[in-house]
Amino acid sequence: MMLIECPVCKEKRPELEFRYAGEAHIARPEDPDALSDQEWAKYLFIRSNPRGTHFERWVHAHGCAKFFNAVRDTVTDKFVMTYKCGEARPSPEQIAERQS
Amino acid sequence: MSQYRRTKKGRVDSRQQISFSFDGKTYQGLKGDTLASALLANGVHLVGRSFKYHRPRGIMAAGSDEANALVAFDRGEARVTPNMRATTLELYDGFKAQSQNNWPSLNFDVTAINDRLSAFFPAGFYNKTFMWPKSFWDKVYEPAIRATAGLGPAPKAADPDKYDANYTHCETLIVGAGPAGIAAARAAAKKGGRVILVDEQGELGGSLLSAPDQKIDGQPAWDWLAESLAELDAAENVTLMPRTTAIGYYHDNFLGLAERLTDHLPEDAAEGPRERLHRVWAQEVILATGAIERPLVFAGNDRPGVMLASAAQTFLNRYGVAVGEKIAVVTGHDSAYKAAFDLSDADIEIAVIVDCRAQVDQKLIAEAEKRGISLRTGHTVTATKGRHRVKSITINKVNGDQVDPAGETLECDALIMSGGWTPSVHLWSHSKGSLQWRDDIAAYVPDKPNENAICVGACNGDFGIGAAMAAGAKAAGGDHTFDVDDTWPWTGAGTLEILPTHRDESRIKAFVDFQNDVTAKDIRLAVREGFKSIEHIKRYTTTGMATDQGKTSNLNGLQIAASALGRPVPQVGLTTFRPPYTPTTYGALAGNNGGAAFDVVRKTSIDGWAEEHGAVFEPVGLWRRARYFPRDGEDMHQAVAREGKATRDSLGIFDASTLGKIEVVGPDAAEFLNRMYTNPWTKLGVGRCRYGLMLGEDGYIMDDGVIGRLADDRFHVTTTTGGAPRVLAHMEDYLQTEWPDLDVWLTSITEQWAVIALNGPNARKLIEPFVEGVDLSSDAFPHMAVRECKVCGIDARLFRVSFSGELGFEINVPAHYGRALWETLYAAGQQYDITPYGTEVMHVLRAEKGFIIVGQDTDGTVTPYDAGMSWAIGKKKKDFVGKRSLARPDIVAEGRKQLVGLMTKNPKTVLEEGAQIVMTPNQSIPMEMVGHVTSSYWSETLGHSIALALVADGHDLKGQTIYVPMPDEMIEAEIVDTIFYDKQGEQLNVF
Amino acid sequence: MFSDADSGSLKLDQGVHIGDCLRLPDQRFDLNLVDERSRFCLRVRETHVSAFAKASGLALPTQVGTTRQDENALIMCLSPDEWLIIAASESKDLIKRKTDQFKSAPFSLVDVSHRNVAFTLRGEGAAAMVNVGCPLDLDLKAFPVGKCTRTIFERAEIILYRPAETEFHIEVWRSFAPYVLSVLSNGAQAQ
Repeated sequence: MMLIECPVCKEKRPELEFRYAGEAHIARPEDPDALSDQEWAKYLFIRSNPRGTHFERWVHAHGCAKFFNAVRDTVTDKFVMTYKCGEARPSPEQIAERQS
Repeated sequence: MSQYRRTKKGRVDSRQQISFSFDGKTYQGLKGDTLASALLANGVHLVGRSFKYHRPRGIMAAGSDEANALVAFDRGEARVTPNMRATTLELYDGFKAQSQNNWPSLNFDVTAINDRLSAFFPAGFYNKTFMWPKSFWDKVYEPAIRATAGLGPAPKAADPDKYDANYTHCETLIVGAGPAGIAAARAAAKKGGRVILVDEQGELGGSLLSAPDQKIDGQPAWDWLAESLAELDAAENVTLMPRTTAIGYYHDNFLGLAERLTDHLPEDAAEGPRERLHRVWAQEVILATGAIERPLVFAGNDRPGVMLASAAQTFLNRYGVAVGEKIAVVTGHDSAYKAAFDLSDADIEIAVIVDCRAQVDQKLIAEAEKRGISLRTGHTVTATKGRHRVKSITINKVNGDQVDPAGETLECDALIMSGGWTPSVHLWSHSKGSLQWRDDIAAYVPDKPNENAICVGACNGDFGIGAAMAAGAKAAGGDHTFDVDDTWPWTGAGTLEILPTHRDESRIKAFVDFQNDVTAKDIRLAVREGFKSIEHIKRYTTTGMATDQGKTSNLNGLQIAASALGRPVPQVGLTTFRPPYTPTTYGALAGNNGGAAFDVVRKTSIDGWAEEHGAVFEPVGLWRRARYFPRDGEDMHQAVAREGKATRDSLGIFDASTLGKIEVVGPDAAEFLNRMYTNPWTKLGVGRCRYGLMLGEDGYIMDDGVIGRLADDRFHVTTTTGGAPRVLAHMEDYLQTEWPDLDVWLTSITEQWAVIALNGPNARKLIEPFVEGVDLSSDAFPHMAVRECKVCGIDARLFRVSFSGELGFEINVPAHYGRALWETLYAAGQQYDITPYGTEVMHVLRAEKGFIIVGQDTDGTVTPYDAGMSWAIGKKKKDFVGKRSLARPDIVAEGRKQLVGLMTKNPKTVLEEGAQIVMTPNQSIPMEMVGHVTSSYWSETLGHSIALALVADGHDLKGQTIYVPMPDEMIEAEIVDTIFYDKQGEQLNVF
Repeated sequence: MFSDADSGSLKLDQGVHIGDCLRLPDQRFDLNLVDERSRFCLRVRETHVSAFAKASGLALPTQVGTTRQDENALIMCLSPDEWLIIAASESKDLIKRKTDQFKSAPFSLVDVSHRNVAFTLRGEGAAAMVNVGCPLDLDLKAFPVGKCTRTIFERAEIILYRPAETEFHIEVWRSFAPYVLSVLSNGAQAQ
């Protein structure tokens, strides 16, 4: 069972306390009506599904109840790092440093 | 004492005789025996029949790698455990077991005819044979296969045993208590931190238990072992767990340890749980899981009496049992010599040592000579004979690639073999550690770890005891080296796949997977038929797919496949090891989740009253809800008709506590609700309620409920019963991640409040005397009003709402008072013939009013327009979740399914929910389906059945006739409005 | 205000009945139902916590997972902006009055008194009993006295608090309590 470090509680907890919440860094458009149908469809449905580094949203549902972001490697299934909502997407260098 | 018992050898206690039974016959064994060692001590080799061919099988191993000797362990009718390995069952007085997979008896098994018919059972035989005709599958093939195949039967009665489970944490977990594991544990104990040492066997010690001659730091191995275990046992930070199998190794050093607590005890001494599953997180894991000896593949290698050389050595040295009186040895590895010499030194005749290698170590030759053992290097075994136990073997000389057809037959009563050693990398592989192929030992060994884990000793391919122990100690942070004499030669096995033979290989049975009856020729046939991947070959031949997961067979099968493919082994790959390492009981996995703890059943505070009043319940999410309250002799239909009528005529009482409730607090509460619901909230007055409709961002209806405004900055939001957690998570998601600037907070209050709904013309009269501080007149407290007040002296939230169409109130009181208030109201309501009703009537009454149930009349593809609920959309709102999607092209397109009412032509016909709808009755099949029935009931109020349905463009089809094809009839119905009862809503204001 | 005296004829029922198996004779542990309490879910933005504490007189612990106990209440910090306040059942108005003293920023106080029921587990075997269903490391180094957290117990969410080395306090939503008790009860029989 995976242990996930919640960036809010600062504790590693079993995945049982967490729920996955989809891909991270997809902000809801400020003015949805301004978007074309194609743009809106892209926001709604299109996700990156990469092999390797994936930016994800998780929620510490049975802990502090906060949403946070994570970098996870979809090949190894491992969490590389977690960070609070609103913080910038980690750079490839930061990710590589954590992975080494 | 039987002729096979060597009382001077072994760790069994010859003063403690114990009596046990196998297949109904009573035998004597000794304390410390396993079933296997005790049977062998009694000269019993035949213990089972094989899976496919029903060939006689004996004991081939001495541990959990046993593939043949599977028995039904019998602790009474409800406690029979099938497919237990005789080699791992510890004997106690009164022990009972039965052989399996034979009929009518072990010695005479009718189905053994399969063996003669084996030409008809090639690899992939199920796939090939039972293809045609299709209709034969259900009636002929499958029942026949089921009757004859399979291993032991499961017990028919419920398991009376208790099981336990827990979570455990430690700094160091060591799997395997052999020399390397114990050395690691001692070092870890000194280092500090919590240490757990587990071993699947009843006695800790691993290979040392079979090696009394070994000296460690100048001490005999068994003395060293006793001292080490005593030291570990005394250490406060060490937990020793014998009889504990590490069944699986998962992410982040999480392992499952299945501890068997009572199976080794007589039934009357077995107290407490039978097994305990420890779910363990370890900072570091040291795998000292040893290695498993490989069988050799040759014709007749499965005959009872043919076994692994190390097993014979263990039976002698650990259990004091000679597995025969005249034993032949066939090997491709040096380790079998040591077994042969141990046997010889115990005065057991060694008929011959056959080594398929031309050259062997001089020391081995000298030792054999010293003992007068005939050694035949460069030879092979081409046949064995003996019906229920091996009686003779045929050996032939090998000249280069040629096998001399002139064989020599030698008598023996056991044949022990060694095809080399396979490191037990199962757990390492569970953890996704990588493997590398080592040609010199013809096996995969651990390469790079994926977790904080290390393999030490034989499981790492290091077979010397001294080196293994030093590696163990080092892995745990120690630096102790051990003075151990382990200079015995340890080479062999090379890339051996099948012993050479002059015989036609398509006519012999040389077994690879003993448990699934897979032979070398099956694997070759699979390759000839075009299978190239080892994963496919495995599935086609079923090799390695038995309950032992190919512990003894995988590498032999792999090498045979590689050779047939003409490719080196590493290019052919390796199949994946998966948990559990050995078969695990469902009981252990269930742990403490038996009986009432099987699953969460949420009950309201009023549930007990409903149960006492004969309610029939239904599950709704995790909740159980009263569905109806049948009175004497009533069926559901009658009870529902009565409850519904009583509610419309006078007064019904309903437990609505399960409704999800969220308190939304803060100055931005109204703005937040504006964004989450389709409806406008800014102008909703304090003390008023509004129906709220929630969409997903895709524009489809997600949830609904009544929302009351308690103060400018405080709303009481209700959700559907099943949707409560989902809605709160959805709201939190938007609040935390999209609009963290809003000053608003969400608190689940579902369980804070018990909710009693009162519906019917007498509802107000009933509650009036109990309510303090609220003028309940329609002017002061109209439909869709809410007040905080006191009811029966308790702080309450009183809603005037109606899901039935009648005058209705919902009283929220703190949950611990729910039942008391219900009982008070029920007693007071007798004057109005108050009638408790359940969810079934709730459904009927709301359907009569055309109110939707989200999840029943909607299915995740229904928009507010489709549901005819455009009125719920705040037209002036710039944005809300789902709004933009309502303008998507496919949402505004024609042809969408829309919610309508249906009235059957025959008023008595009640449509089936889920039934498909067609526009014309006389179409050819497949008909064009235009929709389906979502809700359908008998309406006692209307004297007519009613239904709701989703029909393509249904809103434009009012008055049209549609058809519902059923197997025995074509039902005609008319599309009508969704509101069937009291279209003007006059009942809401009845006094 | 919700004491029995005030409730007129209405009887309070927490809906939980503890079986004998949860009182082992050898004193390894003893499980008790906590009487009715006042409970509040308090939400205050992190930036206003100290001002809130000052104005209300309620000593809010600020580290997630820590608790404060004073003469008024036991306060658990469950999240940077969330506290569970547990007080005597008759202290409900007192807590409300105190929080009302804070007027300089918005916050949320919601009565959840009856949302939870609570158990105490005391004795040498208490930690082992909690670990029957709770996956956390309860070693004193990892889970010291005074620590609290929301977590899970098999399939139920709980709040776990350790008032003393051999004592645990478990808060669980009312309808999940029988399930938690069933697992504990099975676990107790297996000790």
